[in-house]
Amino acid sequence: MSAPVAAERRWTAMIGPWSLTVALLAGAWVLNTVALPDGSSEASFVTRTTIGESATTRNLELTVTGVRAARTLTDPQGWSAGGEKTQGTWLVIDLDAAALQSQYAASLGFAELTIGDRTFGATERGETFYRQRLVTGVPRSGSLAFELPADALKGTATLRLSIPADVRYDGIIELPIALGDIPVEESIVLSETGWTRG
Amino acid sequence: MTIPTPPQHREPAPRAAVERAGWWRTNRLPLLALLVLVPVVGIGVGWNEWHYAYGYGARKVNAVVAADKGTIELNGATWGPVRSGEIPDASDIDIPEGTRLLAAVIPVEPDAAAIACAAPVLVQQSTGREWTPMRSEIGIPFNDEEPSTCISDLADEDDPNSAMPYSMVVAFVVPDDVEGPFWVEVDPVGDDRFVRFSIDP
Repeated sequence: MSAPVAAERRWTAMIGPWSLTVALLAGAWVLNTVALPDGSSEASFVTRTTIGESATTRNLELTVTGVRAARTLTDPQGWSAGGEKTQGTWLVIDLDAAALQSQYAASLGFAELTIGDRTFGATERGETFYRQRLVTGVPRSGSLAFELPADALKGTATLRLSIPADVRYDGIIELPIALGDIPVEESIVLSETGWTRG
Repeated sequence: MTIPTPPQHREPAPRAAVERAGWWRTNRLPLLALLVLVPVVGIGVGWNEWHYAYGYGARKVNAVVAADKGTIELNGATWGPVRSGEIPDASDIDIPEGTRLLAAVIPVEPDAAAIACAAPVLVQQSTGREWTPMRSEIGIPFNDEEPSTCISDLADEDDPNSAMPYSMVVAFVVPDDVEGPFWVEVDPVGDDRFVRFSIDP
């Protein structure tokens, strides 16, 4: 008679540890599921907008006023790039931008275009709005240009803009751009960087 | 030899009461330590964070404010008195509609050696919004006679202690609806304070 009783006692004694194990495993699984990916603590604060809609983040206010594409690019000073030799495409973003709080170190220092899993930085060639000074409360206008492979104008791209070159912990403005809808012109001239008129 | 009378046991106090009074008494040292350590930790952590942000002179917090039309002695130079005003609409200056151009002239008289400084900043006193000087952006070419930051012209080239007096001339493009008074701030290199003038052009 004593053997089954002892076995039963052993079995009941194991309920505690096993249920604790299950509870801990389940808790670990839940934690692992709800935890944000690595690097989330330094992720940017994203403000989403669309073409023609004004958006603000921290010290930056901007409106993308137009998107154009061309085989050849010319800046107001006469510098030119592209054409038949390069086989590439230029995507040009026209925008108005101003600083909100401080003009100190305020320039458009971050401009990236993501198409699928490829990310392109705004060109530093020619005279563009890239890294140009912003003025507190007074918008200035200009163009950013991205040099893309010839086959890149497909699907939807994401444009991300901000003031600091390092956007970790900082605000960025993000907007989608439907690349397929943009007619590719033979040649376009960049807007001159200057005060926003009209 | 007699057997000593055994000590008389007093009736013990109710156990709960002893525990209540006794706990505070037994732990009075840790409690005192807590009373000291909690504020010390708070102040220590706060100071450390503050020092990290402001302690290395990158963002100065100690302003030396000039009296109205007054001067300031700071960091081996005399600053001011500042003159300021709104530049009336000039056709050769490129500023957009809805803005005004505020200019400030800040005389600098070094005592001996030249002093370096960052370009002056215009700050709206009510909001803290900041403007930095504009020049090429408004179509005014660079001019030796109107430096927008500290310069080091020497009266005698061989004597570094013969810095000449000069005036910084700066202009700010400010929206029409931004109202004064403003601060004009100059931050000299080598001092943990900065110069501040109040203007209301």
